[in-house]
Amino acid sequence: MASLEEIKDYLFHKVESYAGKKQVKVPHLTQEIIEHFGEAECSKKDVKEALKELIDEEKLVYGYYGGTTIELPHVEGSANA
Amino acid sequence: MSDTPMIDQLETGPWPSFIKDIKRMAEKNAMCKDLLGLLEMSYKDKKTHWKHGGIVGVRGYGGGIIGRYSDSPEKFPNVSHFHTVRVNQPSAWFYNTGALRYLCDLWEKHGSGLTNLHGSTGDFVMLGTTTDQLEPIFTDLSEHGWDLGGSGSDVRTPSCCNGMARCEFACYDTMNLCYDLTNEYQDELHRPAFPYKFKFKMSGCPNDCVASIARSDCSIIGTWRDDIQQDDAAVAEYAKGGKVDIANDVVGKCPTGCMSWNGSKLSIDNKNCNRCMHCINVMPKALRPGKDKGAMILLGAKAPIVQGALLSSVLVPFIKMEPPYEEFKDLIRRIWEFWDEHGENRERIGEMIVRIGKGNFVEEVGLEPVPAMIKEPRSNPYIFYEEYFDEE
Amino acid sequence: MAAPKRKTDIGPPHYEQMLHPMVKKNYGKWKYHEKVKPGVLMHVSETGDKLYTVRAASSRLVSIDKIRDFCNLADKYCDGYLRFTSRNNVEFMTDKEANVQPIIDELAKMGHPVGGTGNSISNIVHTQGWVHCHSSATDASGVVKATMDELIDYFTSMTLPAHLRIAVACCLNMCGAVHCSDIAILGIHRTPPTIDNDKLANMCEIPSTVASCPKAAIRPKVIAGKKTVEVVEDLCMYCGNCYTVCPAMPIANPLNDGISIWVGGKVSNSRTAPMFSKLAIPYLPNNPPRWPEVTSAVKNIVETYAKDAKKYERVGEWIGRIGWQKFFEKTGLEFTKYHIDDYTLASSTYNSSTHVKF
Ligand code: HEM
Ligand code: HEM
Ligand code: HEM
Ligand code: HEM
Ligand code: SF4
Ligand code: SF4
Ligand code: SF4
Ligand code: SF4
Repeated sequence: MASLEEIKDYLFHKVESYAGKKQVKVPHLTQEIIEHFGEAECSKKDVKEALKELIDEEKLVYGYYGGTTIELPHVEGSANA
Repeated sequence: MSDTPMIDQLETGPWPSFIKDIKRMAEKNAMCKDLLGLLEMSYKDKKTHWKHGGIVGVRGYGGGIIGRYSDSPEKFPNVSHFHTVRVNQPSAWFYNTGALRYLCDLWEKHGSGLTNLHGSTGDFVMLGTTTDQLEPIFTDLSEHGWDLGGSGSDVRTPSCCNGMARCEFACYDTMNLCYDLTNEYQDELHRPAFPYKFKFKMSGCPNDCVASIARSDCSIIGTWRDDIQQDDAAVAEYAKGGKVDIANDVVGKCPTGCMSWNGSKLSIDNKNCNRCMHCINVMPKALRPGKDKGAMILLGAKAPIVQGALLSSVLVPFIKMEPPYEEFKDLIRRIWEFWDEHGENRERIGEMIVRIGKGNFVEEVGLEPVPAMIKEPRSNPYIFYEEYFDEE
Repeated sequence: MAAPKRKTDIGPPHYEQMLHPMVKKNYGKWKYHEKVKPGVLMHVSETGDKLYTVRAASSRLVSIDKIRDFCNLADKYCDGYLRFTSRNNVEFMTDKEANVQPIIDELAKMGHPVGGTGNSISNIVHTQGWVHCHSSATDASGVVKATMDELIDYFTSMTLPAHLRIAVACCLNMCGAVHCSDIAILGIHRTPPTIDNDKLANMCEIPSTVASCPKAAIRPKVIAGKKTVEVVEDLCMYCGNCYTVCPAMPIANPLNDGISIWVGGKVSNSRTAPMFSKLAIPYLPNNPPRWPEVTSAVKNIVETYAKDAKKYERVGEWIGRIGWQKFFEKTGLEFTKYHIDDYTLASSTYNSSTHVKF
């Protein structure tokens, strides 16, 4: 079994790799993570738990892009400074 | 002269004026004062002055806050940031005044003091605050037993009609189911993980007072399987003195032609009634839904963007709806699993069903095809047979 | 370093604490109801208890001070309980018949007419418009106010052939799901977004802007060495998604934005199945603050229906009986090529019969 920390690590780096390139959504991420570790090693529930922790720790944030996305924290473009 | 001559014209007339309400708050709240200015500008220019989005929210949640910025921060600095907070309403919008006063006091402290009672998904909508107020608002709300509603690709705040609390037609306990599902799906509501949004709406009978068949991915509409309960004395009462013209207004309007009236006795061929509610609506004292009550599950409504609007269509013609609703929740679990696997990005469940075919969908979620699911069978011959014989 | 824990996922308060004792006692035991008069319902329970409900108009966008006024009224006459309806009306419930008139009187003083029951025009469900949304082609609250000021007599009476439900949405997204209303008032953009090439290069990510368009109408382009985009105008459906992503592509166009009117939808299952609203008027100008073209068009449709429909016929059922030919004839509305569907499955709306009226 992949440990929670391993999954979190990989998940975070995945999102990082997409930053500025692709608006990535949870179902897509989940699929990728499970493919990487293999179904025997990592379940949907594990990914969910890993994502929840990363969000609670504010390492990742939710965004919106015609549906909810996962992103690195950043200053919002349309915000009025 | 007033700064807002155009919107001032909406203060007169018999209908309650939202401008009066904003002005009332403007006396003590700078946001409302600037909102009036911005709105006047829209009325003059005939265009909106809002910009979209903003990653705003409370820690840990992916829904419940709608970010909003204006395009004129220099002119109207106090509404430069004007975010919306969706507070999950109690079932069927019943309140005690203590609860409402609490929400008002909180909103006076942290926001514009303007609300929508209620948003189209059902939430108590607090209209207009700044990013720094969001965490304090959420902390205070949760200490007082309130939580946020949904937004984004999550389960949206479920809503229901007032059902058994004040309606004799209710065929199941809409308010209890609404409360139960909202709690059951807290994680799915606050942490968006679906291909797109998913809405539940519950009406106690086919009158569908919350428009669930037009506005929710999963419409749960009360119905019954046995005979309409009929009180002949009360029928006679309606007939007496022509209070109701039973021949024309009841029997004559029955869409299935399953009623007859011989001047003194009303007969219903219940096997052919399609539970449209018309006769019951006209004579509520004499006719009531039957005793073997439950609900019908319909799936797939959505607004027009992009492929055209859809109404929900029948998935399960009848299901008993009693706590803890295990059979129903089991079905939802199977539906979500399938949607998760096969739903495309930004595809509502109704669109997915059309794409893959309702027959296939029904099979995949473990149900048997039945005629109640359709208006009519196909008329085109393009059948994709999955079974055929091979010569060995 | 973890931030302080706070309570999450608790859901809404339990509804039981929000129910009047009389409602709680008779929960699930209601036997029948009567419409005592416009805006007043009497529900009678198996136990013999009677509950009176007074339904009043509200503007949906309400201030906390107004909510407090409602609370004061509920404290005085309704033991501190009240509710709101699915069409944004406010309801006061009491077990004392003697309280009904005083509630109505005080509501009148507050400027909230009582009605919206039975065969009336109830409150107009609507969206945000210029008050809060970036996509809006028109305002919502203002259109509602102007329309209901005109139609107020239908709110405070029950004289129509059947219920008549009106909805307003300020753009094609239709947050309020207006597409199943007897009369739907829908804000429309009619022109593709304009592109500010200079700003676009700085403000917007090209790939996400291209991806934002549901019709694949946006393509990358280079103008004078600057990366920007172009819009294939024939494909554009004016949905405004691109503006949502890219502020340099405004969709709003004051000269061309306006309102369309749709008729004949319903959601209830009584008699006929639920139906979509269909196009009656493709375009009316945006004329704030009172939208006279819109209110008079709506009034015309309501009055023609009120005169011509049979008892219990909803607008869609009335048109179903008389046919669309007669609808356009009786309302005097112009029929144009825009009324003929050209989107997916359009051919199902063509008349493939010889059924024509002369
Ligand atoms: C794909 C189509 C849709 C788009 C693009 C869309 C977009 C939006 C946007 C941008 C807002 C923010 C308005 C504001 O500034 O407060 C909003 C609000 C809202 N939308 Fe939608 N929406 C869509 C469909 C729907 C549908 C079908 C429903 C419900 C049946 C809905 C329910 C709501 C609700 C409840 C709000 C909160 C404001 C209100 O109550 O008016 N939306 N929507
Ligand atoms: C970046 C932060 C953003 C946030 C926080 C945000 C938030 C929201 C919210 C809360 C709604 C209302 C829909 C609802 O939940 O009822 C909405 C609607 C919408 N937003 Fe945004 N938005 C953002 C950016 C974007 C971007 C970049 C796009 C680009 C495509 C976009 C496109 C839309 C569309 C198309 C809708 C309406 C349809 C829908 O619900 O998917 N938004 N947005
Ligand atoms: C794969 C689809 C179809 C093919 C290849 C096909 C082919 C044909 C052919 C070759 C004829 C004879 C034409 C002639 O020589 O006069 C014919 C006639 C006919 N087909 Fe089809 N057909 C198809 C689908 C349908 C469908 C879906 C229907 C009705 C729902 C239909 C109804 C008829 C009728 C009524 C005739 C007789 C026409 C007449 O004699 O006036 N066909 N079809
Ligand atoms: C006599 C039979 C009916 C009864 C007892 C009844 C009861 C109710 C009740 C109790 C509500 C408040 C619901 C809520 O907000 O939770 C309501 C609202 C509503 N009902 Fe019904 N209903 C009946 C027939 C119908 C029919 C036939 C239709 C449609 C044709 C309909 C459409 C609506 C609508 C649109 C609302 C929102 C009302 C508003 O706020 O003004 N109802 N009804
Ligand atoms: S949907 Fe049916 S049960 Fe619910 S309030 Fe309307 S009439 Fe009553
Ligand atoms: S409910 Fe409708 S179909 Fe059934 S008997 Fe009454 S009018 Fe006829
Ligand atoms: S209908 Fe359109 S303009 Fe109106 S609130 Fe919804 S998205 Fe905004
Ligand atoms: S308005 Fe809509 S259809 Fe037109 S270009 Fe923009 S996103 Fe595409």
